[in-house]
Amino acid sequence: MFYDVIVIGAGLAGLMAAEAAQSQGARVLIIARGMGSLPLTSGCIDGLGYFPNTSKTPLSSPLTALGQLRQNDPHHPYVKVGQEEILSALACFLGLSRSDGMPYAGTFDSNFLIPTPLGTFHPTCLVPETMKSGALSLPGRVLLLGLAGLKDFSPFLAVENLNLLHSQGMIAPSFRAGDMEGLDLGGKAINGLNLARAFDEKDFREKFIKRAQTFLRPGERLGLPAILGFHSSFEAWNDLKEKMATEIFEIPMPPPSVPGIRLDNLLKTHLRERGVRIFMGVSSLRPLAEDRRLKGFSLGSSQKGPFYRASAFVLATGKFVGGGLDSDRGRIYETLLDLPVLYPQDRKKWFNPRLLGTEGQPFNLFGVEVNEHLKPIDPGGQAIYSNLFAAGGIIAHADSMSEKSGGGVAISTGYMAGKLAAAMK
Amino acid sequence: MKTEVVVIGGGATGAGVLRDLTLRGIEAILLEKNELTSGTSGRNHGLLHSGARYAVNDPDSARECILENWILKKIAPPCVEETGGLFLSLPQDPPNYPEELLRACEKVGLPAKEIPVAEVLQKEPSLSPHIKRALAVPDGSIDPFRLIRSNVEESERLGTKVFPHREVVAILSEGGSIKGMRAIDPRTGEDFQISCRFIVNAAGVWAGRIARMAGASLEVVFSKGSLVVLNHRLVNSVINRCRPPSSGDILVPHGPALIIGTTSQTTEEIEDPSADEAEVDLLLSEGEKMLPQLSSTRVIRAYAGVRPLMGAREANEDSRKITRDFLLLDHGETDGIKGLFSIVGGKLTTYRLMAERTVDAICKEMGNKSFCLTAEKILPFPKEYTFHDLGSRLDRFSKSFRETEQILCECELVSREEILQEIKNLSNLSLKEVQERTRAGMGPCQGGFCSSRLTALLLEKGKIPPGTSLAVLKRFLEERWKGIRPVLWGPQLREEQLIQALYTEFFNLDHF
Repeated sequence: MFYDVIVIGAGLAGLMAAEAAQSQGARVLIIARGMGSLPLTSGCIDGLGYFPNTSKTPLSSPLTALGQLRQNDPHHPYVKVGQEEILSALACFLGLSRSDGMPYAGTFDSNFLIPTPLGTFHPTCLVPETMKSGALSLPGRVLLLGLAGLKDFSPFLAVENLNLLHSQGMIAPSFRAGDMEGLDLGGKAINGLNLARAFDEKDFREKFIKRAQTFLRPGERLGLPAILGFHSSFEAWNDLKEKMATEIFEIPMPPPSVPGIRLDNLLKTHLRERGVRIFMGVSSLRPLAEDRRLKGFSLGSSQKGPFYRASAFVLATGKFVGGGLDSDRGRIYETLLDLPVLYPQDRKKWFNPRLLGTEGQPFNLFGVEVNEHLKPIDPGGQAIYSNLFAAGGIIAHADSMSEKSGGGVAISTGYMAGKLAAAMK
Repeated sequence: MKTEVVVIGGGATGAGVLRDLTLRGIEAILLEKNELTSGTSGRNHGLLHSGARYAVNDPDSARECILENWILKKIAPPCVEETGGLFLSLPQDPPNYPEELLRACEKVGLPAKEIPVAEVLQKEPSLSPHIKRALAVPDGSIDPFRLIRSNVEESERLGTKVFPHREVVAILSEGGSIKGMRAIDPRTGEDFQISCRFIVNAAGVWAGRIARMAGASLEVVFSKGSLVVLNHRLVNSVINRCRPPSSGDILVPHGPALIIGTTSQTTEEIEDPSADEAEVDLLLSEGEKMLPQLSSTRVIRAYAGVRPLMGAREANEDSRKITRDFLLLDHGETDGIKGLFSIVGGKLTTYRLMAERTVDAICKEMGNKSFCLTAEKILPFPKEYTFHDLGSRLDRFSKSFRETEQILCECELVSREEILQEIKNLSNLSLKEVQERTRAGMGPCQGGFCSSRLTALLLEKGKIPPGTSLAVLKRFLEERWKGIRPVLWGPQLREEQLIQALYTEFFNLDHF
C-alpha cells in the first residue's frame, strides 16, 4: 500500500504530524506499537515553564524566552522549529480543539499556573476551557471538592499546600476542602473513567449539582478533579457552570488521565474523519531502505507480512516510555532504525544523584539529533535518510520534564515534520 | 525517667535483648535513634543461615548458627520460610570443596547431604545445567522486620517501653558506674534524661560511638555489603555457591522476589550506605553463573548495609575473613565502667543467642538467678499475620473484599483500611515506616505510584505535622531513588521515566 506520509507513533507529536500532513493534502498512515501516550498526560499543553530549568520562578511568557533559548541552547527543538512555525503549530492545535467541540484556551505568550492534586502548581500554556478558571492568578475563594473513593485526589492535601502558597503571596486565591461521599454510579467502581462517563449524563449531573450546592459558600468557585465528562466534557462543564451560577474548573489528575484520554480521542477522531488510517498495536516493524532513502515498512515478523510504502516518514516514537528508545545494562539504542543516539557511555552518567533536583535527569535529554529540517543526522551532521523526519520526545536536547515543554515540543516539531514530509509527496 | 536497664539500638540485637530482659522480669527500656530496623537489621539478606557457609573457616560460628536456626524455626514460624538451601558447584569451582564442606558440617552437627544434580534441576529448573554437584542444607529465609517487631511488641505487651527517635548524646557515670544518659529527639530537639544502672550497647555500626560517650573504647570494622532485588522468585530454595565465601554467592527467595548478595568492602559511610553500579554488575554476573535467567529478569532495586564487625582494623585485610562471631564486652572489666555492656558483631541468625549471653552477664552482675526463656517461648503474633505472601493477600481480597475497601498500593494489594489499622496508634510517621509495616510501596514500582496517596492519607489522619506533606513525600522519593538508580536499564528505566515524569512534568515537585 502506498501512502504519501507514514508516521510512526500515535502520541501527540505523531498525531500532530499526521494532521499537518493531511491538511497539505497528503495520504497519511499512522503506525503505533501501543495506543499512544496521551492517556498518560494531563491534557494540558506545556509551552515552556522554566528557563533555565534550574530557575526558581516560572516564566510568565514562553514566547519571550525564545530569544534566550536560541542563545543558550541552540540545539533545542524549539530553535530548530523557529518562532513562526511554533505559533502556526499551536494555532493549528487550538483551531482543531475549537472546531471539534473541546476548546482549549491560552497562547504561547503567557503561562497559566494550574493547581495539581498535591497542592503544587504547574506552569502551562494551553489548557482545556474546563480548566481555565483554576488559574492561580485569579483571586477569590475556591472550594476544592473531593469525590470519596477517587484515591488520587485528596482535597485536604491540595488545600493545605495551596493555602501555604497563598499565605506566602505566591498565588492569588485561597482554598477550602470538601469531600462528597456516597456517590452512586449504579454499582460501578468509583474511578476517574466511570465518573467521567457518569458526568456525560444529564440526570447524574442534576443529582450532583443538588448535592454540590450544599457544599458551596456564596462567592466561591468550585474546583473538581478532572472527571467532568468523557465524550462531552465541554457541555458537561458548561451545564454545571450555568446551573450552579459559579466558575467551575477541573484539576488535572495522574494517569489514567481523563483529559489526556479525551484529547487522544479528539485527535484520532479528527484524523480518521479526514481519511487518515491509524494502526495501533503493531508490535513488529521491519524497515526497508535503499540509497539513503527509506522505502517503507513491513508489518509483523514474517517475510511475507504486508508492506507499506511512502514518500516520506515521520519518526515520532518518543523516548523510553514511548518505546522509541530502549536500553540494556550497557547501552541506549533507538529501537526502530538503530539511529545514532546521543548519550554518555557510562551508565552512572545517565542519572543524577537527586531524583527531584531542578537539574533534572540526563536520560530525559537522550535522543536522536536532528538538523534544521528535523531530519535525524549522523555524528558528521549528514541527514541519515533524505526522507525521514523526527518529532517529539525522540529528539535529543530538550529536558521537557524539567523545563515543562513536552506538549509544545511535540506539537511544534510534529507539525513541522508533518508539513515537510507532505511536501515530499 | 528511671529504669534498671537501657538498651540502645532498635535492631535485631537490641530487640532480642529487650525481650530477654522482659521475660526475666527485669525492668528495661529501649532507645533507637531513628526507626526500628533502620540500621543493618533492615538492610541485610534476610537469610536464616544453616551455618554451612561458615563450617569450613569458622566452625564455632557454624555451630551457633545451626542451633539458632532450629530455635527460630520453632519460636518464630511466621517470620521464617523453610525454603531449604543448596550449595552448588560449578565447573570452575574447587572440585574438593563439597567434601570439605560435608566434613566440616558433620563435625559441627549440621545436617548436610549430597543430592543428585538431576534431582536438583528437576526441583529448580531455572538453575544452570552446568552444575556439577549439589549439597542440601537447612537454610531458610527470615523477615527481619517482622522478627524485630514481634520481639518488641511482645515486650511492649508486658509493659516494657520502646522509644524510637531517641538519640543518645551523653552517657553519665559516677565513680566508675553507669548512672544514666541524655537523649534527644532528632526531629524536634527535645531533651530527655534517663537514669539507669545498666546500659546495653546494641547500637550496631554506631556501637563505637556509644562506647566512646561512656569513656570506653570499642573498635568496630565497617564492611559494606550490597544486594540486588529481582522481580521474580526464580528459585524456591536458598542457593549458595559451593566455594570459599566470595561475592555474589547467595540467592535468597523472599515472597515474590529474589535477593542476590553480597559484596564486601570496607567503608566509612555508615549512615546511609547505598549500592553502586559496579557492585550491581558484579552481583548480576556472579549470580548469572548459577541462574542464567538473571540477565533477563527485571531488577527492582539495589541496597546496601554495613556489617559491624569486631577485630583490629587492618587496612588491607579482606573484611570477609574477620570472624562473624560476636563479642560481648563487659566494660566494667575492660574499661572500669561498671554497668556498660557492648554486644557487637554476629549476624541476624544468632541474634537471640547474642541477647541471651548479654542478659546472662547482666543477671550475673545483678545477682539475678533467672533463666533465659527466649528459646522456649513462642513469639506471639497478630492473628491476621501471614509471611508477606502476595498469594494470600490476593486470596483475602477475592474472598472478603468489601466494596468500600480501597486498594492504595496496587503492586502489593494493600488497602487503605489495612494501612489505617497498622498506623492507628502511631504519630509523626514517615512513608518508609508505613512501607515497612504494611508492605505498601514494596512492589515492582517501589511506591512510585502509591506514595502520593499514602502521603494524603497520613495528612488526613494527622500522622504528619502540618505543612510537611511535600517534604515527607520528597524524602521518600529520594530514598527510593537511591535504591533504584543503580539498576535502571531496560523495562525498569522505562517505568522510571514515567514515574519521574509524574513527579516533575505533572506535579512539578522539582520546583517545590
